[in-house]
Amino acid sequence: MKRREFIKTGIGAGVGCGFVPVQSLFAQQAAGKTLFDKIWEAHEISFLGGVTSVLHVDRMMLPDSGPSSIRRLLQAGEAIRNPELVWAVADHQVSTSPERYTNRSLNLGSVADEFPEMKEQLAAMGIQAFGIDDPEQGIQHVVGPETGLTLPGMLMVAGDSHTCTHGALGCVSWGGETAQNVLLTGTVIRERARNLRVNYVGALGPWVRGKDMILHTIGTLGADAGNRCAVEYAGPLVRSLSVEGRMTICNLSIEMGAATGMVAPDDTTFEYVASREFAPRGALWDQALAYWRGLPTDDDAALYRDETIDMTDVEPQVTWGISPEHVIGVSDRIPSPDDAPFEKRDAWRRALEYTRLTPGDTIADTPVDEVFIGSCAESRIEDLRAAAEVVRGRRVAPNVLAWAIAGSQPVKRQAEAEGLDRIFRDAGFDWREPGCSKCYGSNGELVAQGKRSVSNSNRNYVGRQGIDAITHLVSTPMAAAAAIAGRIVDVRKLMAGEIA
Amino acid sequence: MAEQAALGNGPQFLRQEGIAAPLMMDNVDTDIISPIGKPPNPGATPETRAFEPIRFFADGREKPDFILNQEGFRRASIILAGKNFGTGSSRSVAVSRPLDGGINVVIAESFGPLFYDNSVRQGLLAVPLEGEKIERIAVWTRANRGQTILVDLQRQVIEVPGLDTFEFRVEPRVREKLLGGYTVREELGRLEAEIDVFEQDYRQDWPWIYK
Repeated sequence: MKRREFIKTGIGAGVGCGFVPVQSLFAQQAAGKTLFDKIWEAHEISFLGGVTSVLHVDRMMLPDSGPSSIRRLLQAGEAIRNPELVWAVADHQVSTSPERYTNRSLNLGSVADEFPEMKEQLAAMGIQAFGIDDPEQGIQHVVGPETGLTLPGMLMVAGDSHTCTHGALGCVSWGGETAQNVLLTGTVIRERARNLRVNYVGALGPWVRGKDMILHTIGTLGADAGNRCAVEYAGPLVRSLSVEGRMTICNLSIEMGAATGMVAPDDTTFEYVASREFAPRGALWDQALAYWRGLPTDDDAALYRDETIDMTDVEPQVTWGISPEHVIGVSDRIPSPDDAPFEKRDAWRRALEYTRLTPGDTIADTPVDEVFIGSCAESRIEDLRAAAEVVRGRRVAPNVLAWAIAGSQPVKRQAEAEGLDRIFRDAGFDWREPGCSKCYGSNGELVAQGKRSVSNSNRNYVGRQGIDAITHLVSTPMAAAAAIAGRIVDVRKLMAGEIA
Repeated sequence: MAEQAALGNGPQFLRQEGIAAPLMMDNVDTDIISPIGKPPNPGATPETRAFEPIRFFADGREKPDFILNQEGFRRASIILAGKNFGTGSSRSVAVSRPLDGGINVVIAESFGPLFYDNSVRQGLLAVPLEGEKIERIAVWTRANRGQTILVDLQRQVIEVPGLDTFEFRVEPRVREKLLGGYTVREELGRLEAEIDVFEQDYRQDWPWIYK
């Protein structure tokens, strides 16, 4: 049980992918520990100097290519180190067309075939592999928490950058790992992140949700604020959020440049995890729960940086530029580069040139060509319910192409059981199958060239959703409202009947 | 000094003497460096696929304001940038496409975490340096087009002729990996006994982790 004692290991002045200000060295000498420190130290196998360590991996999550990666390794005579800690799901390469099950060539490569071919062999090794025919299939960052393959206290790694989503359950999770390295060694080499805590206070106004909290945070602190940091989202507002809302916040940690994002586990978390398919049961549950309860950051833990974000009076957020930090409230006007901090003026000018917006105009009433509801940021049942409430009894504006995609098959089944699919379809949305889709143009599912998209996803980078396509990031109900109005509107006004 | 032969089977980096191109922007994201899911730009060659959206117009014509399209910087092997370079996704092409175009070093104030990890893996040297120093090098390189600077990982210095020598520090593990030319698997292979011992204990202590 020695690992449970969270042995203190002093660490020296590291460098790595950014500068370490002096205060962080003092921060490491404090008595208490943060959530991140506790999990890091429990997984630390070997310290390599500076701030770098070798860590044990509790879960390796493989993408579409997972089954073929494993097959290649086995054929080469290699052994998978901890196969029972590995799982895979098809999401990036799958089509979201309802015809994908019959016309399997719609899916990229042979992703539709590899999962069924390999399923039994992988299951015998203890590896779950969810292809398009499986009832668990979906976007990996929806599936992991939903199935209980993600648990508090874990070190969870994958290739995909939005693996930070899973931190909402109180684990450490990051993308960017190479499947082969982790499959063969069961470990990763990483530089230890600094602790940045973001405390949310105040109150959320109507139709303001997790997405608005994190977009407002990135807008306030900057898209680089998280560099070399593990961000812990804390405070009363986070405590009051569901696990799904917390996932949305953690999802965009990578958009803040952070190594990962986390929320300390609490009763909300444990209740969420308890009934999941792969969650521990009986005595193992009791053991896990006792450990999880000790994970939250100690009161006397010192932090590299501690920020407070007051959500009082914060409106539904909309991005106007090409970085998630280019964000304003829906009633605000497009900012002028002349008003930008000096070092950001050029970037703002380039952003406005790309998004074809005029400083001084309102962001509201900007006309919209496409609306995308889906993605690992927000495609869970609560998100779809919120969007359906907006869409119910209304019609998508003419000339707007609107898609709604449940994040996983269980979310889709639940939505259909509640009749949400009918609401979307009757309004003129395409109701599609779970997968990554237009979030980044997966499987050729792109926003048309040069068109303007309102999206509930997480990246508004140049060309992200399609060549020369413009992306406005918003919450899911704000995306639904834009689809109905045919332009960016304040969902609160639409729901109050103030917008025709 | 004799060239040090690689000891491992991974990419080796010892030093880079080359032209430094100032791409002095913050938040250069991975969708700018290497778009995926879209058809390649018609103007792009295997060497010019990095930075496609800011290098080319959609019809394939070069954008004249992009630094690597400008005389004196076309053959640059070092990029100077601002904060959060490579923010965004984990795509390995965010590092491999610049490498294919001869970019072996990026000097920036800070890096997106996943680009940084990829760079260590693939042998592109990501050098963190204070913004004010990067700005001085940028001013110098604009005034001295076509002249080269030296980035030496062995000594952890950047030598800019007639300007200054700038010290930098990378993680000891990164330096050892790149100088030796090791793969990550080779690095971990040396620790196999330690990993074995850890895992035996771990499995005992944390049975609920194992599905």
